[in-house]
Amino acid sequence: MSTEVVVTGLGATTPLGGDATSTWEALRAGKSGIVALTEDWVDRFDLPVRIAAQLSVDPADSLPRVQARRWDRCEQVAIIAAREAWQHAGAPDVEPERLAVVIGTGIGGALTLLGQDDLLETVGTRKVSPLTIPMLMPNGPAAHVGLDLQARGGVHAPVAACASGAEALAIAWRMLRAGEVDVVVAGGAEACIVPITLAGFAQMRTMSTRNDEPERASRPFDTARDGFVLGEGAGVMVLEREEFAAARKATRYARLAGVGTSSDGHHITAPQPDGVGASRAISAALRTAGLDKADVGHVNAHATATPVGDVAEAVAIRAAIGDHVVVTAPKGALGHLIGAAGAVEGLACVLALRDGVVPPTLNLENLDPGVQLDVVTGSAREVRLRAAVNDSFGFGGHNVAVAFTSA
Amino acid sequence: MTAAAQPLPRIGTMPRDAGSTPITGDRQKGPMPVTNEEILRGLAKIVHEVAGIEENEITPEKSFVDELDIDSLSMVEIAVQVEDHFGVKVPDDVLANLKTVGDAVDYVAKTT
Repeated sequence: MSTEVVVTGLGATTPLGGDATSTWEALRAGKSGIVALTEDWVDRFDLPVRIAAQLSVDPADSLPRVQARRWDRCEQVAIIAAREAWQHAGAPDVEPERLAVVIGTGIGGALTLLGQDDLLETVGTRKVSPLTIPMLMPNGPAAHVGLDLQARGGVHAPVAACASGAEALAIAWRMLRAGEVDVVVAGGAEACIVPITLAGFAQMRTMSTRNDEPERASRPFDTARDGFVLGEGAGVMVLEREEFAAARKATRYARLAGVGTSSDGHHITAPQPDGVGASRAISAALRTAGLDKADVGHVNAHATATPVGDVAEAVAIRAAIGDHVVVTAPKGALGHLIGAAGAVEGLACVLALRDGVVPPTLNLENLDPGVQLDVVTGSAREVRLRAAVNDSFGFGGHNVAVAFTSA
Repeated sequence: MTAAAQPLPRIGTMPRDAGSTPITGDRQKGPMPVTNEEILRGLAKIVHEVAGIEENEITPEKSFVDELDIDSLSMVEIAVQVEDHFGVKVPDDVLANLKTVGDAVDYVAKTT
């Protein structure tokens, strides 16, 4: 029998808080991290989207100046979340060769790419920073965390759009189950609230334009939903082989019991309306976790608040698990953290299991009739939970589901 | 840290203090520095800005790589800022031979 995988440390920095605890407390309390953008470029480009879920704590403020200037914002948030998770896990004493890092991102160092291109065009080549490439490369967050922890068992950076963070957990689970390493620091990071991403997503008509009511803009599963709200942040977990965690008497917050991945083969951005690909991923997560449908009490939904995606996911959840699960959609509060979403929402799953609490879905006032599920609204609900599933889906047809069970 | 002397990125979204932000506020506008001490002070400010090393630790006998632990990427940044600050050219073959802080001071002194 393969080794089990346990969660021993959590770290995050999000629009709801500068660490995992404050993020979770704000999520439970039904607070919103979405604000009106005040940057001058919003008017300059006459952007149709003027809201976003910006980090509640500027990462550069909590890092030494020289380190901050060598790291893109998405690398900064990865380091901050990873350091928190590592300390939370009690800084495991692990051979460097038995320690790996898997941190995904959707885009990577967007701010660096844009800023350095501006310098190139306005001043010239000699003003382009020699740190440009390591700051913009999408493996930068994983690589910097690997350097920070002196990990020598492998550093990986899955790129699967909005499923990147969840895919990182899936890859970590496979590495640990295969016995390749003893500890993996896994998660996702994103920081791309810039005009080009807002304009590009807006041109796809995937974003909410409820600019006058930022806190009410992200409305997963609601009949009046009109798209997602772009967010930024990072979430990181320390995952360990159970035997290794037991030997060092580590506190376990949950088990990462199983993972499922699939691809739609349908369209570059549109989900399959019947949710078949998503459903296969969820079923695979249950199967690898050895769970029956009835075991699963909670689903932390991907639900970005796009008209098509939310209903497709609801259909997939019903097909793969059933309608008995208590569902929440955290993007109502967090916005969409893109490559960090799956990791941060995975953290929420772990803490829901630990505390027996499912946070409310913000702005869900009228449940879409296509969503025949028990979705928590208003305030957090206490539920006895044994197993929970987190869904993540990404442009490109990536479907990832991860199943957690109580430790 | 302001960047008054530097054209700001148009997007205005660069992390504060990121990349090739120059030393500002004390840029030499008048006559070039003449003494080695003045050059050393200007160089120390640049090294502190780029690498975070305390200015009083930046002394002529110190090696950039072995003692001040400055990597090759930061050396390129320092060279560009030295060019701007002192109005000199630091070609790559010269940069490669600037092993110590004193080497850099001497090069700037003989080139200005």
